[in-house]
Amino acid sequence: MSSEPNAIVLVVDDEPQIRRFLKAGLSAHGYGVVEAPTGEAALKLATTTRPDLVVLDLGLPDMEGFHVIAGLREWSSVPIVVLTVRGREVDKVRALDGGVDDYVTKPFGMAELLARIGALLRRSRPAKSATTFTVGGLEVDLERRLVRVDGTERRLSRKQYDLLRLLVRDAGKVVTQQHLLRELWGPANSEDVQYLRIFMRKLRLAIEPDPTRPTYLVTELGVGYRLRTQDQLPEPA
Amino acid sequence: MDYATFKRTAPALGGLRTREGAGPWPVRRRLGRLARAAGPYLAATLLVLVTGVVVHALAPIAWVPHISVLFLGCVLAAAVPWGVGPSLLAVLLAMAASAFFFFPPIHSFMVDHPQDLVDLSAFGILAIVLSQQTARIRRQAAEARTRERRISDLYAFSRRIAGLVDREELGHAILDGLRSTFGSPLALIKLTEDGDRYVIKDPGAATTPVILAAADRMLENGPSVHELVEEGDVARHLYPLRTGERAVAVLVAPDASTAESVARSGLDVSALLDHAAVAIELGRLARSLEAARVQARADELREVLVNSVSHDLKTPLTSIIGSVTALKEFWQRYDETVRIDLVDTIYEEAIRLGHVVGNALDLARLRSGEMTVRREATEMADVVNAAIADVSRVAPGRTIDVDMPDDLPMLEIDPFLAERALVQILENATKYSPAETPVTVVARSTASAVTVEVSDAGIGFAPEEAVQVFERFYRGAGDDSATAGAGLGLTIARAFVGANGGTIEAASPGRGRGATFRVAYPVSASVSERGVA
Repeated sequence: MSSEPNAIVLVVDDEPQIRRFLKAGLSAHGYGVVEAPTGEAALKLATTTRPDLVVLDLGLPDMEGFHVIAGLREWSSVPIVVLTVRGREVDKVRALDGGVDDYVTKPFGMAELLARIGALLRRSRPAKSATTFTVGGLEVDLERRLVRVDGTERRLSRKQYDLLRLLVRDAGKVVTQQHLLRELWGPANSEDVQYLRIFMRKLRLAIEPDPTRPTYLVTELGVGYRLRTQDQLPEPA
Repeated sequence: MDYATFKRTAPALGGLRTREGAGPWPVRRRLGRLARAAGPYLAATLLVLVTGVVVHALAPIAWVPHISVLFLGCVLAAAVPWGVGPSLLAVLLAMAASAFFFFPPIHSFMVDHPQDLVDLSAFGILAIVLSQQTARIRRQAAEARTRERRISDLYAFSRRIAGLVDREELGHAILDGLRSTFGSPLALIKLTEDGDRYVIKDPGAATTPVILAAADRMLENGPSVHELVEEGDVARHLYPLRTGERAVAVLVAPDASTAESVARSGLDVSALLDHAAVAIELGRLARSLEAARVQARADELREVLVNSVSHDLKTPLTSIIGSVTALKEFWQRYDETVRIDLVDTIYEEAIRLGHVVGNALDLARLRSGEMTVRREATEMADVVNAAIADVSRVAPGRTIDVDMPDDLPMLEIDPFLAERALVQILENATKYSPAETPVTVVARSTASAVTVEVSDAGIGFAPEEAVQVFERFYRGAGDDSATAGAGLGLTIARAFVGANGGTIEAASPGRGRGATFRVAYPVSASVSERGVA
């Protein structure tokens, strides 16, 4: 895992213990850390320090995390990772749809958070000119609309390819099912998750070694899907 | 009980009689009553007349010297079945018949000889005494019979209601026993343990606010006398059922038609009511004993929970604090291996702690009833994968074999609830089976459902425990207390599966032979692969 040197991370959390361990962990990886205990302080610090990434706890005492997201998104596209708790999956979806880039569920490991932060920072750097996406044995050639698994070309239907392309565009991030539905079928069908499930099943059959236990296209239960990047792949057993 | 108060009811009785006499039926009934009363007198008359006529007719053939002996027989014969009135009539008639048929001048009521007059007088006195005595003996025998019947009735009644604990059952048994004496419909008004009013009544028994208010007064003041409550043209009798100084219930009986029978039976009524009162009091005692037992069990369970949860919280915390302080104080002295070992301990125990807290939160959600079910089209494979990923963090290195076809029907369920339930079942399986044995997950589809079976090669359970394993705090007989977990996992699983429209069941071939937990979610008709290329 490579850190992005000199990147500034704004940590927004009302719990001093959490800020403390995040600061220790992030500093050790070469990040500069700015702390804000409240939403108001966070919005102020964001304008003055211009962080490269924001880690935001959704449960703040003074204002809802969603207001901080909205405030930031008014003028900035800085990557945001939110910290949520289990059982509040609705919050995750709302945050993702509100412009957040990723989430981590508490309690989380430092490695997990660092991986998310690293992926987001790499993405937010000036776009690479690469037109192929590769993870494990999967290779997606965006220019020629070709998909290969272990060197063998796989034929996808148009919709299947569109679905894959959307995930490649945001590879490593969770893409909400509502977003995918809107993109693929238009706003009128954004509630019909079932269509999406069926297409995902077919897409997995086409490209996953074991479609019932996917390696590349993983489900974030009730939230959406994530196309894993190389550093998100599980270590081979 | 003081039945003198019946005097107060006299006007009401009169009024009721009037109402009763309105139709044709009561007239006939009164004639019938008259006929029944006149019968014995008529019979006594006939008896004497027939005896007189027969003896007189036979006189030319066989003269009976002491006709008065035969007439004494008649008086006796009238006294035994019919009592004093008819037998006295028989005496008078016999005297008249003797004078008429047998003492000269014959066929005249005159008596010539003074000796006959003495005879006749002696007969009269003797016959009257005989009639009185016979009637008295007869009355005593009848009273003895009645007493015996009443005692056996009372005994049967008290046997029927003794030992009944259920309030409803006891109330109805009491009403059944009292109906023959007090008439129907009856109602019984009691106070519950919480001081609420509780009414048990026959169909058609009215308990109007006025009656209830009167009953409340009775229950509060515990008067010893019965009360008449008149409301419009309907009257009801209220009898307190007392134990000692306290009224435990009030019997509401219909109006005056039965008041007479109640008055007639005198002391028996109070005995009946006293028995009923004692039975009610005993039932109440039995119930409060039962409540105390239940409370004691709840306290016991709470203690088990507190012990269990505090054990589950303290054990990982102890490991974490111990490891951390060791690292903090002796960092320099430890080599790399020891440090890594301690850090691994901290990590694993922290994850375990997180799960204990998570379970406590799940349980809190269950208890507060704020569990919302958000259904959406869900792939069982996604649920299984998420659950396995979660469990693998608590039981790292544990083998979980999965057998899942790639064409399972889609479900319309809440994926998180399904996942949490499966996590609990998987954790339970890993907890209660040896670490080196695999846990297997098999998903299948049937005609109407998708099933997931989680099997382990663990301690299993006896067949009779198949339902108990889902009970709160239940830990199998083969469980050692060192196993982490508050015994809540399967309870949570069952509640989550149930809320999600599914079913869960447990099976085991026996203790020590592994267990299988099977969850089934129905395949909703609305979720089918419609119109997708």
